[in-house]
Amino acid sequence: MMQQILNSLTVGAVYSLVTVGYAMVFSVLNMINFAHTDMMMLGAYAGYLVARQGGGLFLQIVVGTTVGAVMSAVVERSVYRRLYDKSPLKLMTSAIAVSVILQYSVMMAFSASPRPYPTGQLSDAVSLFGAKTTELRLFAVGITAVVFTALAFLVAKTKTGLHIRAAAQDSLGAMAVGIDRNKVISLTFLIGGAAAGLAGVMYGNMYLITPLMSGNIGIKAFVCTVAGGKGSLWGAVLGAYLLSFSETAVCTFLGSGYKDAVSFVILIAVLLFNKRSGKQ
Amino acid sequence: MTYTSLILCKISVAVTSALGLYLCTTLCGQLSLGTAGFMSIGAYIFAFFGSAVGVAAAPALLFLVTFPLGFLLLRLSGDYLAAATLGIAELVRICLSNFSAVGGAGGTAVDFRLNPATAVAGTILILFLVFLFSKTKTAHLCRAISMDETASRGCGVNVTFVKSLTFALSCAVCGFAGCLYAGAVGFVCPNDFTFTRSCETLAAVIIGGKNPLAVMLCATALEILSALLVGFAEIKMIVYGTALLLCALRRRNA
Repeated sequence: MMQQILNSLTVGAVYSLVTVGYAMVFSVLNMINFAHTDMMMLGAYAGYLVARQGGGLFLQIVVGTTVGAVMSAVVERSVYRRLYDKSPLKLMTSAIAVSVILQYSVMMAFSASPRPYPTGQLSDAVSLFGAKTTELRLFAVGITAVVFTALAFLVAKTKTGLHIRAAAQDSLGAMAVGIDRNKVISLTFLIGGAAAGLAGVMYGNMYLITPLMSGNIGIKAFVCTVAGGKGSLWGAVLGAYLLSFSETAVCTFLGSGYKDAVSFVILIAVLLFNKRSGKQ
Repeated sequence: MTYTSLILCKISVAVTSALGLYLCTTLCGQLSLGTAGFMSIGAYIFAFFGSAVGVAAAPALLFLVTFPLGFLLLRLSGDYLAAATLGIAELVRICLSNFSAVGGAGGTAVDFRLNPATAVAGTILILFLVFLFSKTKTAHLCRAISMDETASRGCGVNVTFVKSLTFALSCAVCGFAGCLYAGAVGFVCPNDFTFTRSCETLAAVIIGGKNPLAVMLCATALEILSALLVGFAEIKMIVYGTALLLCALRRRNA
């Protein structure tokens, strides 16, 4: 039991890191960024390249986070920005297209086969309340907590955070009082991309990475966003942990074949039965 | 079956599914990412019930199931509908992969085979029906809804009914495409119907634009392209993605 809880905590940490970018973009743009989790994939592969050259965890994190942030901002600037005032369908189609291009470009470069990171990073086993885990997994939970505390501070206490909140609440009103909407949007993409890149490096250190890994995680992050109440920072964490705990429960009681079905069931249930969600 | 006739069959499948999605996405403005899921249901029904009964039963059954489902689903707008349909498609795939009764992840062989001529005839029939449908009053209402839903509602259009009807028709046509696929290839497995397939269909529909004939040509061209690029699946998908992106950025009414 303790083991399951500990596993869920680690998985939930990765989910929340991915979800936060989703949620922030969602709150300011009302857009499902289908390419968001591809930033995680890019971060994971960047980290993989560093790890293969013998780079330590710190270097992996720096490189992975930077790649995620830069790519996210570049995609926003070069593609999405042209479409903000057009139909939301176009925005989403372009996000799907970007996602497909990124996934298959990476597949061309690295082949489709799943790859493990070279082991050795904080791999010592730790025993906690009778459950086994590794230092790395605890580190993942810890760094997620740090990132979220920093983000919460940014959003709640700084002027930039105020701008983000204003744009999320009413983008037209925010523009009317002189907030540069494009700057706010760029910033959320940058922050979201960085968190996704970090999530990619942590994920890669724990599991196998493939160019198509983002598809499944993408829908999961979207589920967390919707389940956690669309766009709030702590809602994202709540949604992420809701999902990770239910997944672990399903794995334990129904078998791992149905693990990925959990997110879809939650997604459809929330969309259909919560009257407020599902409206733009 | 020769290589050429297999390609011909695959083209019919691609065109039929694109026409199905065309009804929902182009005509009615509702983006569905569940094409692959509805195709797989059609394909599995055909695989187990075979023959002419299967071809007729699969679309009919899908229509009957998705019509009431549409009333629930189509309350959702834009991105949410896309996510929900994607969720349904993935759920179908996961369930099929885990039910050993239908062959599980390994898939199942199809006894009743269709020859390429039948597949092409089926596609032409669908094209004809879609063309007829696009001239009906319902189709005009669909266009009105895709332009402005609130205004249509204000004019007394039963928006939910029209959307659900079109959605169910679209699902039925996709199910028919699934039947063609199962009959032509002779083998179905859950991983034939992934998100990639939905994306390919969406690419054909978005690039094809408003005319069903253009959608047909586009689906054919993309399928020929993928036959030429066999063994270079990555390049194929990058080309699809780039075409989709250019369409979204450049076209005024994509």
